[in-house]
Amino acid sequence: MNYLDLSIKDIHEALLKKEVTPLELTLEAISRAEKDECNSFEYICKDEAIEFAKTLNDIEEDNLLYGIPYCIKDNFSTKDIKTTGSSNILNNYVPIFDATVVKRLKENKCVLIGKTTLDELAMGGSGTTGHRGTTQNPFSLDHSRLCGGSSCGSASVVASSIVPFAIGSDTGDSIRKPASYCGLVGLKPTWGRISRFGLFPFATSMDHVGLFTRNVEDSKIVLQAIEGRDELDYTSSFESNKNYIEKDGKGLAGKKLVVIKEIFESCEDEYIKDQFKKLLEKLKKCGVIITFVNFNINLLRACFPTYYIISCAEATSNNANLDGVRFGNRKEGDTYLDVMKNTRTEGFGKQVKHRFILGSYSLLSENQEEVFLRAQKARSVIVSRYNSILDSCDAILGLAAPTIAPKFDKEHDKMSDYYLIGENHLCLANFAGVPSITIPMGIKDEMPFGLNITNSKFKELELLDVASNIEKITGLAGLSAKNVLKGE
Amino acid sequence: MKEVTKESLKIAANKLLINLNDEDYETLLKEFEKLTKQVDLLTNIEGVDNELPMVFPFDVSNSILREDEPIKGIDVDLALRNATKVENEQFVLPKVVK
Repeated sequence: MNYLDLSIKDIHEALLKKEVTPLELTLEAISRAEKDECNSFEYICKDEAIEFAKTLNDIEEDNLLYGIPYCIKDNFSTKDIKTTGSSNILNNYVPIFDATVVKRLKENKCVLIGKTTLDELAMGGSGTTGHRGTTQNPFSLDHSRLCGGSSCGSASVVASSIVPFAIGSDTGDSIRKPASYCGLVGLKPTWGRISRFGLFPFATSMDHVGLFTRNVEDSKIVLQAIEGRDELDYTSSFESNKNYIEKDGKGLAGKKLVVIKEIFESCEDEYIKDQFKKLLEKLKKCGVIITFVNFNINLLRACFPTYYIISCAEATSNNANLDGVRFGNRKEGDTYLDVMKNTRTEGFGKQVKHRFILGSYSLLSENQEEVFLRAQKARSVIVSRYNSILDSCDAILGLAAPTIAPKFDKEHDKMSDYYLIGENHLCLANFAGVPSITIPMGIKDEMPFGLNITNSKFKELELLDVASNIEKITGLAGLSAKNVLKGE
Repeated sequence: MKEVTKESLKIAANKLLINLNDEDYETLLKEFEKLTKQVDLLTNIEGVDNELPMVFPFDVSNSILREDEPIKGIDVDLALRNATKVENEQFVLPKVVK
């Protein structure tokens, strides 16, 4: 059965025609999940999924998500289903409520197939730091390349066609970069567009809920189901819900798209740059006005340290409740402080501890002005410049990543423009809270690479319209590891 | 950025309630060497110290009062379900006064 390789609309058609049932789809997704070789799962919800799918016997014609299997990153609370954030400190934690996004998907009769791996507590960009070890890229037959992170498992399960969509979170680029490495559409909408209630917080001022799909239309369908005001999230927006699915775009003619020159130049892969330039030429032929703009090299070089300081500082505060007293993997001690210290010392992985130390260091009274507050001020300057560019155009185009998915042992010069800008510029959209999407742009050595498109806050309709139109030009809708490796 | 010492990292670790060993501190000091250079890049931003710190991406006005109606809280047994040690509906920790 190959229905899981199709788009959500095509699966829905098959369900309506009774060619397949939600239970059969669920069993097939579980079968594929159990054969996963990329370490994508924290937990496969086999019994829960089958029990729920058995109740789905009355296909709703106007609900495209009815009976559709999906996965979610393991930093979203799922009632009565263990949720670890890929951290040993939460090894035995079973939430007592559903995250709002889980609740909304359940109301839409989507079937949760599994909880996916992540970099521990979403702090990482490689998919290598979770307590279950490394998550591998499904496109890499010899398992030598990473998925990117932190939403590594969610990217992997969609690229492997285990499910048509998966939910992730994005604080710096944690959906959009893995999407580039795994040949997927990865969408992070405006900050506040999707409720974060039930998402384990990492850096509250930059955390976003988002999603992975294999085509842009599926992203529209999923976004429509999960967006909207939620009184349980105090940062949830009152912006009205949109009809993304039936929106008839006006096409690309006359659109003003901007390329940030320094970001393009920071890429050292001539093939990827060449493919990007060829795409720009095709867009120009469609009537698109393309402009290269200088951002300000000093601002771009400051993006990564700004992101790192702010995110680590916020993380120390957000994770202060992980002490083993009320929940979590408690380690005993002689005093209450020993209990907390032992729990945190044994429970957190090395990289998370190191990030906490930086966060705590930057918040010490003697450092706060020079490190933490300066980073917040830098963010202000960077966002001001970024928004001024966004205000002058319909969208910004750029390379989602400067390379195909790297091999696990790859090291970089941490002061190079390649690293500071090319590898880390996607956090600009987190600083500004604006919607940003990665779509597949090309293939090199059987590995995909992506295009990033970003526009102004709450303009997802326009963003998705541009993305749909560019997807038609690239012809890469429906890309998956299976069809690339089979040469389809 | 000021010079980072093992002592200052110890203060930071202590505030976090995390114990680190000597090897961790060695690794951290090496990491901080690179980080310090990156953090210093912030000083290259013209007029950065005259800006206001950005706390959220954009202003959100969400201060609304809900209707004054009682809301059911979490059931006690659910609130305690994930705790390792519970007695008389309370979380148990080692005694402070022994």
